[in-house]
Amino acid sequence: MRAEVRADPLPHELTATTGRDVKEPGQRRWQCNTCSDIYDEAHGLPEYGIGPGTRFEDLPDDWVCPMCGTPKSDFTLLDE
Amino acid sequence: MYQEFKDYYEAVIRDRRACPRGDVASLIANGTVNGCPMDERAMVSYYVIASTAGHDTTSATTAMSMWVLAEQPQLLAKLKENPALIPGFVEESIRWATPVQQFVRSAAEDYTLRGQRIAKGDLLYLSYVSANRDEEVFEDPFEFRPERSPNRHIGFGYGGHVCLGQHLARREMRAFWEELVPRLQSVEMADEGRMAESEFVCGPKSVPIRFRMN
Repeated sequence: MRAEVRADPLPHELTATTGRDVKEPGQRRWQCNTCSDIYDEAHGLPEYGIGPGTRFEDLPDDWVCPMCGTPKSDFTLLDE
Repeated sequence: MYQEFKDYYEAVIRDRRACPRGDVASLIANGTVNGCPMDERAMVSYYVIASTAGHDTTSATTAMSMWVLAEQPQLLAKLKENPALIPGFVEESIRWATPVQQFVRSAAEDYTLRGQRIAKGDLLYLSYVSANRDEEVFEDPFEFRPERSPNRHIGFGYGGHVCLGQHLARREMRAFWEELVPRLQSVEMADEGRMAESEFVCGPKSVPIRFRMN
């Protein structure tokens, strides 16, 4: 029996969409323009003290991408 | 050796220029620097970097992970009992192996770091091996702990030049261990492991193991 491999999409498989799949604040995803990592509001970043449901706007101004250090201003909203 | 790479990649370049598609090979083949196409050596070098960086590093990290498992049987038991630890195991393996040991960068501006003046243009040897054992960042840095969270290693670098393949590398290694751990019954060292001798990209040269699989 084979182990089930997680099938969640890689960041580059996630593309911005317009006019559909509109998500509520607290449910949206934001993508780092440098390394393509995703900040998912629904999950937050509990390991960094950011709870589930934390809106991107509510992250501290000096927050940076935990993967590459890109500033908050250089993220793109997905799912809009 | 350069000629072998060139012979191989010239066909790739021709193909991707004629029929670009959504892959890194097409980006490189059609890439420009300051508005001009890259010269042959720069372009072939990009392909060499992309292909070697995507192979040596993950294979070195995977070999190092196996070495750790062979020396810590309780760790394999822990992963089998709780496969949700595998992503953390991969992350800790990257910190532990740090296959890219250093890069030399030039300072973009004058800066003072802990009293040390760095002038614009100075060349800096950034030791990722040292950073990933930094006791100010990692509790017990010389212990292998898949539970570290967050695991703020810089095995993929940091900033604008962060590793292009970091997400793929994680995915490859997670898939590998998620397949292997349920089947791997036991693993132990059969002889002494040996590290390669390199101060740039480095990892195990040999990890002789004895194992049982389902």
